[in-house]
Amino acid sequence: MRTVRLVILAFVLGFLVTGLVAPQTHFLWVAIQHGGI
Amino acid sequence: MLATLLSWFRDTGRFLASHPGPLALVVTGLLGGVISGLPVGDAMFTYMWRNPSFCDDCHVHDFANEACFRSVHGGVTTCHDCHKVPVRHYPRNLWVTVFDTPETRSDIPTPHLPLVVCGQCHLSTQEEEPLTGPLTDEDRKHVVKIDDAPLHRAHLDAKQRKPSGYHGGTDQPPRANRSGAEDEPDPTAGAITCLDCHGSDEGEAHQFTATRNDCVSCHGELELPKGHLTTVDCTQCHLEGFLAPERTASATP
Repeated sequence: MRTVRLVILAFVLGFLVTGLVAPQTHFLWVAIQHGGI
Repeated sequence: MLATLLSWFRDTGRFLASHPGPLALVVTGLLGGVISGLPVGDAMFTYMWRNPSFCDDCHVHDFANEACFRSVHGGVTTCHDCHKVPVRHYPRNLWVTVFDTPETRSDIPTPHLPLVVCGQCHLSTQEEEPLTGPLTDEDRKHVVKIDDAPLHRAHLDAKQRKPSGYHGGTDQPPRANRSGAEDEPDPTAGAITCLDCHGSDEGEAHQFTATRNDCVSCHGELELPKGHLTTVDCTQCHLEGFLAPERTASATP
């Protein structure tokens, strides 16, 4: 049961990183490059 | 709370380190999540950077959006190819939208676009400038370049914004870049910018076509007080000079 919970947690974390966090940081980086702070 | 969390990480780390099977499953789950999130992240970035709906969520100005879609730029690009704003714009604009919502056109400031933004597509010397919106390289190649058009060249090379008396310059300062932005250049100094002729008046947006009023605002002394030419648009005779790569034989003195 512990393994199942950890697998689910790892999947959710991986999904959040590339699905939500990465596009936001990419957006900010591109915006800073072309528009500044 | 923090101690509990640290304890959980310590126990979980020990458990995974001593059980290779569960560790492999957890790593597989992590990779599965990373891969599953890629299309979602790509769609989110595309929405935020290339889809005008992202900007329109806060910029509720239908007149500007519709004018843009009707213009020559509509259908080939969206906001971010021309409007490159600093990062601080996003939280500030969100705050304004929620707590100080614009009610009329005059509440919406007109942005100032430097020449380089127009030039990245319309000047062959700035073809290497990176685009940030959805305009494709193929479409960019087909955009009209105005470097070698003699009348555009004359305006780009002008040392001052006010034309000479020979060219009908008036004593009035030429109509400035009509953005109203704080960093708007002095209307009587510096080089002519694209928006001097292709910008919009206050309360309008995305009216890119230069009109007779744009010409006579600087070349007022050439405007005839009466006769047929008082109603003729300047571009009916002079348009070719703004587009043709070479001065035509008929226009050569």
